[in-house]
Amino acid sequence: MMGNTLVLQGIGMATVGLVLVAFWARGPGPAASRLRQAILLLDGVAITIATLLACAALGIACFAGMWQVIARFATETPSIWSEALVRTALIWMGLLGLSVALRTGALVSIDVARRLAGPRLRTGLEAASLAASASLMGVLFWFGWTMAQRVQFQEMAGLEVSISWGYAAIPVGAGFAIIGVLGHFLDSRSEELEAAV
Amino acid sequence: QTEITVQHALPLNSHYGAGAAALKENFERLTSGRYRVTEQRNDNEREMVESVQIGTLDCTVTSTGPVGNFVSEVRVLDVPFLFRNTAHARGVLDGEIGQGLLARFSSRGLAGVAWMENGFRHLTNSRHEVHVPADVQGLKVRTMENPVHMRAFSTLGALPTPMAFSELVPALQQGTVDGQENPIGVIVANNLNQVQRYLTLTGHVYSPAILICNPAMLARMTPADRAHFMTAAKAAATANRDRVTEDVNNGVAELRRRGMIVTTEVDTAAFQASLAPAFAVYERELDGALLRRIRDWHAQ
Amino acid sequence: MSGVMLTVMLVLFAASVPVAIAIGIAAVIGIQGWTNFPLIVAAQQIYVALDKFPLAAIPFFILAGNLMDIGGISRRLVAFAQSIVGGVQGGLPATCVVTCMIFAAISGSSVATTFAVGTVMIPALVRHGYPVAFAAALQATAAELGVIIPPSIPMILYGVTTQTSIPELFLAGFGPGLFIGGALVATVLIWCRIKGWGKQDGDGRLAIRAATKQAGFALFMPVVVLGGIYGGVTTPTEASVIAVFYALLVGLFFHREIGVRDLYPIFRKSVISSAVIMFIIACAAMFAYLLNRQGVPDAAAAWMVQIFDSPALFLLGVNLFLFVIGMFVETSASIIVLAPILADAAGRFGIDGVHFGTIMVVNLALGMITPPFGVNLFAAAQVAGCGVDQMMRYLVVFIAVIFACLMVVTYVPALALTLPNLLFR
Ligand code: NA
Ligand code: NA
Repeated sequence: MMGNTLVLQGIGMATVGLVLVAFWARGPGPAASRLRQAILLLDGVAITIATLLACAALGIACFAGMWQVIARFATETPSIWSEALVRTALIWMGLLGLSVALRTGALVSIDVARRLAGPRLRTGLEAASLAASASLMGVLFWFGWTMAQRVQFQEMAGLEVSISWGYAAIPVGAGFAIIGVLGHFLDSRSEELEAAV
Repeated sequence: QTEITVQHALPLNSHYGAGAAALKENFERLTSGRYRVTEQRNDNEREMVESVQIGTLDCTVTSTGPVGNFVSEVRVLDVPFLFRNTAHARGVLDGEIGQGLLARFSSRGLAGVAWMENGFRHLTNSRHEVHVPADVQGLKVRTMENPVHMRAFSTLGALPTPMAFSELVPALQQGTVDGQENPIGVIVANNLNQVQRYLTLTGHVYSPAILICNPAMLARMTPADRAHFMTAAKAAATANRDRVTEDVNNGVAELRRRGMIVTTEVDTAAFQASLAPAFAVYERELDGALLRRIRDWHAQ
Repeated sequence: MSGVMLTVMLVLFAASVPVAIAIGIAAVIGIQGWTNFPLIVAAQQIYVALDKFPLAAIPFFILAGNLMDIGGISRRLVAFAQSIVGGVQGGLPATCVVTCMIFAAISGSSVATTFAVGTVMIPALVRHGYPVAFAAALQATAAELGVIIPPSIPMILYGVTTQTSIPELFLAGFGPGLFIGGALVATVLIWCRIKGWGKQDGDGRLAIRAATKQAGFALFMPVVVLGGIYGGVTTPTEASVIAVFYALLVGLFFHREIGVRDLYPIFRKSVISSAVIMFIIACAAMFAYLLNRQGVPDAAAAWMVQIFDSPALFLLGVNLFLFVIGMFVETSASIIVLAPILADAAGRFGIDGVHFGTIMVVNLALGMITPPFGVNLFAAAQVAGCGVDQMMRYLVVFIAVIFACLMVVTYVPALALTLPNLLFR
């Protein structure tokens, strides 16, 4: 569709720009080092915020879920909102948690090539991962935002707020995730297996 | 050839399927095959309405369950004991009031094309026969996630438990809930008699269905084709209602044959009297004037 | 278009790009190239895929498992299992299998089972003179019981995508889980006899009474969860929430091995694991949406009905197909994309949906130990500190045993269906 094409081209160019900047920031020289430090500082703050919010969302979901059981048995007045709150809180948890997962390299991959590669090819593969992740997150950020606006007059059953409050998790999560993949490229860590399911 | 996709949540052999098939047959014939209608199943009604809105789906046949979240005026139809009988319901929806409601859809980026139906909903449970409101007291009843329905059941002293339909059968089996309420066709098609012993023809609420389409898709048609589409939609509504009537006529006998104990004599007035506090809330929270217009409607 | 999508996806897989990202990009390319839809439909499908109450059980079971795992639950379960089966030659490998079976009743995931049990069992096996690669291969294999014995994340996904009752699927996992566990125990006992391994395995184990007392709270957790579901008290999702609070209370107040300060790391770890799987679900759902709108499931099911003469042949074909898929593709993504297609075809052959779900989950669990992509292998290799290639000579035997069990599960429906039939039908 035409409207998509223009945006996709923009996201493509932004991704190329991001990869070039990231490469440069990983290189030698004081200016590159300063940029790297700045990005990692932003990354540190952003991912900490995302982690805290995601943990809070998981906690909220636990209590809402427990309330649903208690309400039905103890107070005998079934709760209308608890199920919707559990679902919505977990959507926020998952999409905010995505940035943490990307930052820590927790998404599983078939990493035969990466293990066998020499240092130069390995850098190339890391750049490919950065480009792929950043462009998909770019798509989710832009079109997630558009969708959240598009549905603002739809009410969420059970919570009686606009469903945009749910959909907004997608662009917000994707925004944090872009910072996370950039941080991972500049300061690689791997928690792939600790977190795999 | 232009393709039009219609999605709904029920099997092909159902009252929605009958409507979709009639839409397909009539529209393809009237446009001499320039249009092709494809019928698909999708169990998420909210998603379908939203997809029609954003233009990734042409049409959907849906219950009014999720529609109130898009077009809030439609919620008046959820009020229990609003319609006296099928003729009343169909008359209101096909007349000025129903068409007025359909007109509200356009401001939300939707085209309300035609009213269809699921028919009246009836109560089943696994505990005991239900004749009077007191029999409902203390029953855990699965309802849709619909505040109007839930208020009605809690006013009667039941414990309404909203739950996805896919979770219903195991929940009834395990006794997580004691009962549920649905149209006869749904009870028959899902073999709920295997997990429910008692059926009471409460007819406590009429469940409309609606054919919703994407307005841009309709606007792309020539005026003549659009008129054909409306004709086909009317035929679809007729086919849907005929099937509902048929299901009710055969369904009660079929459920009896399968061993359910069916209570046909229900003191509707007693139920309405017990619901008085809920009605007062509906008058306040919904369009009270419209509720009265619907109640006072009589065939000319 | 499908060629472009497939190529892009395979290239990205080969380039070590995360599986979920590769699937997501292929789906976006497909939406752009195949349909004239606005791309906001990608966001819509992600939301629709995640906005399901039964799926909420996944993060809750992950959190409950992590809460249980902290502070010595695995150690206690190992001691318990050893007190029962540890006294014979080869008793230690048998203990590994039995511990995995018990831990499986707490955890819904195989990798979690590998880490929890493996960190205790693999060093113990090595201390008793077993080859480290044997220990790792055994641990990876036994841990797949984590998704066969309920609760099970893949079963939840199968239930959600095919509208199959999750409580029935859970029950149907018991028979195959016990059977596969038994087959593995028999295999290692015979193997130890042949090789002369493990003559002193029984030394120093606890008496059954003492071990049971120690492991009591852990052993009671499955009772709480399954009792909730089958006693008519809760849905599976609500049971998973109760599991969280049970594990939390036991950890904080009874075992006193979780401090308030441990909660943040536990939550963080659970958030990451949940996000990983939810993102795979989201991206696979975009892909599945595309296939659905193209009418692929219907066409594929009709095609399968045509080429297979009988249900038995169909099941054989499906099993071989899934075995190959399981070598390369992640379990959750396979279920989201393939379950609706295959379950539809299975239905046309008159195969019970719950039985078919069990077959699919057992088969894809096998995929967790087949190279090149096998999450259990990666996890066990990391715990043991040995390479997957070293494990291969032992794995071949285990894979053959599990495949044989898979055939029994496939062609003896009673193994899976007896329990659900007793309770539900
Ligand atoms: Na399990
Ligand atoms: Na594999």
